[in-house]
Amino acid sequence: MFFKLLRVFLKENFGARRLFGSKVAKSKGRVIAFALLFAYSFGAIGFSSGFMFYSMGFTRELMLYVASYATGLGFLFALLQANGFIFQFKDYEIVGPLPIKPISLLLAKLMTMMVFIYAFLTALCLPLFIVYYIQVPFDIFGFIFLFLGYLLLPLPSIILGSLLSLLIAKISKRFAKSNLIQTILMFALFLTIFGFSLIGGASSGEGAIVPVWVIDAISSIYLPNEWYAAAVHDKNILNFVYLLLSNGGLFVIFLFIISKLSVKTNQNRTANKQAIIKSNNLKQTPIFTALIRKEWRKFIGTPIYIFNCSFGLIILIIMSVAAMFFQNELMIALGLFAPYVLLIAFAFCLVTVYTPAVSLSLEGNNFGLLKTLPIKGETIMSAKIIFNLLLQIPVILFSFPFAAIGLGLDFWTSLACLLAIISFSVLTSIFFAWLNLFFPRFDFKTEAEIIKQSMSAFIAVFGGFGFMIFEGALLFVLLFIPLPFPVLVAFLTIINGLLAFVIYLPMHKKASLRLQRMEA
Amino acid sequence: MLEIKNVSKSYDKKKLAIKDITMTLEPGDLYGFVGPNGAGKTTLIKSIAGIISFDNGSITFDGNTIAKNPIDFKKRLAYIPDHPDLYETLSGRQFIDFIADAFNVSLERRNQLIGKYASEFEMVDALDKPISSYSHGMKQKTALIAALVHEPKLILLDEPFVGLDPKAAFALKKTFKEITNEGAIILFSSHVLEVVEKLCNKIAIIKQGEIIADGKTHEVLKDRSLENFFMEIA
Repeated sequence: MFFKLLRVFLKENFGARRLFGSKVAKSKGRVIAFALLFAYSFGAIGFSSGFMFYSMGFTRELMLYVASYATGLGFLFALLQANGFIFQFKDYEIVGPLPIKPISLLLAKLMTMMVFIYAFLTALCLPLFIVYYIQVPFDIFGFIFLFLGYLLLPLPSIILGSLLSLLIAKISKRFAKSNLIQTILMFALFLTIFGFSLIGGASSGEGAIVPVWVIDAISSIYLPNEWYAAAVHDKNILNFVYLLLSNGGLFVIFLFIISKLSVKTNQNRTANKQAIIKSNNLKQTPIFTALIRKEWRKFIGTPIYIFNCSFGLIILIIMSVAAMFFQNELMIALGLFAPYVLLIAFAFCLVTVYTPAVSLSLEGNNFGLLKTLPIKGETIMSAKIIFNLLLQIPVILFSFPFAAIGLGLDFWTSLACLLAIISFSVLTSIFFAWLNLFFPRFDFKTEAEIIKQSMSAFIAVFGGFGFMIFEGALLFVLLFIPLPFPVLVAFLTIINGLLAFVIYLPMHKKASLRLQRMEA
Repeated sequence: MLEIKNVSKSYDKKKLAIKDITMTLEPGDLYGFVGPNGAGKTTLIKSIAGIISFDNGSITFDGNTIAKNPIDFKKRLAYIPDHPDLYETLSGRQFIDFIADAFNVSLERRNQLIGKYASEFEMVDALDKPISSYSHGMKQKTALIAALVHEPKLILLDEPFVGLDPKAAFALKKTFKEITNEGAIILFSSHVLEVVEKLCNKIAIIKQGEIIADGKTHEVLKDRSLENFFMEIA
């Protein structure tokens, strides 16, 4: 029965329909095209990182990098998904009454989650392994250690992530605004980890090559990563045995502990503390304001939505404020490159705030209701764009002065950079809305499918990075013009504005028609 | 025989969703369970099905308790929720096959029963289509066929008539009669009082988590209609 369960769960969670949506899944050609796009994107990330190590001749560090990836992503995915996969099955009404042993059910669920984690991880790590074997002669023992060790690597972090996921869900349920509390706890946890990794990295005292000192710092604290690198690179059998016993052993113990816990958590679903929504101060508001309010409520009511789409903003604030405290060090380290670093850092963080790319899809079954309302399509889409800008621009205005002072920029350079950043925010927000209008998907079971896995979200992030590269290249070309730097940056703002207009105009014209044709 | 003894359940450790419920359901009983929204019908049905745990009391079916022998208890039980959330990537037939596998139903028997019930519920052509393309009623019918394919002795249904077309509702009532005549127990909740009154040999009325009336339909109602009786007491 275990294999039957696993097959059904895998199909239900990772079938083409679930990954790409029913419209795409109907056409094999589209599925292949999207799969290739995924492969290309992951390959680009993996190979670019891999060749960075290759160019520096760091083969052992490459294995430490793989280990850090496996540990970090295992933790991240387990933290975000374990509660749904292991402790609160969405399909418990189907599988709960069936005469199936709890351990079979749990194993099938856990395996399904792990297939997802390993698939994602492999997409990122496979290019790294290829780069590794370009540099290091292939030998069978090393490969066996590499492969088995790779399977063992994420296990402790999956355990930790799963237990923390349960703990966060348990704590947040005690509060009336449980979703908000859950999000705050997740942020607190991630920022703590982020802070520790920075402190650990800083204390290592090797500031030259950032990824290397970070992964060295992680592996000096977390020994399994070091064991993995030693087993694969130095062919150290003893270190492989350590890895097997520690990570494998922990996982077996974890299985025994959670097999009963999983039944309990699924059967004891206590009600959330009820929030009282006061409605005695109702006000009539214009439709546009009402739409933005609706977006806000959806945003704060969905932890994974806030977590994914505002993490970049939080990091932006922290980095900008931190820049004030490390003013001297930054000015020495960055010198003339300071404005470029500032532009890249802001653009990178803003690209991760992609609410218009998913908010139409997130209407889900309510989309039908939205369609019946007497609201123009362009109003709906514009509200989604404005909502994203309302998230981004206050954060930009707050954090920019800190960053500009921290990096020692003069007034005109600061002003030009600020305008370029705001125009980039407008351009990407419109681009994101355009994406969702063309790649909507309403047939989801959990919001995570849309926010993390949907085609629109995926293209939004990579497309946003594409805009960054385009603008970087453009600025590089503009630098050949003998004009002051602020003027050249002002050109970027104008180009952003023109591009935004070019994307917005057809979207504005066709939004109503497209929305009318869509079916939820 | 299904024996529910002093079962209580609270979701928030403050208010009891069901309070000290005691009921006995005998083979052949077709039990209608009615009550206002939020009265505790679904909580009791889910507690019997083993989907949620309860705080006090015991639920025993033919000697097996759901708390101590859940697998043996569930081997002869079927549960159909009010909004069956089936695996949408499967076809109706694949889903029924999955349930039949869980209950170890022989291939010959499952084909025989799928054929019979698919025909009665007019699902023969639809069974090979993906569940994602089904209407609510079709999902309900698929869940019903999946429940009936392993010939359970205890069937729990939450609002089974919601979303069914008149033909399917008629077929379901007929199936209920057939199954209970063969000795199975059926407990279902419903807001359609006329159906409960006409169909069930026993009824229970629940209000704020407590059973306020329970017994043979004609003894509980005497010469009143269920609707009038319900309006008086609930």
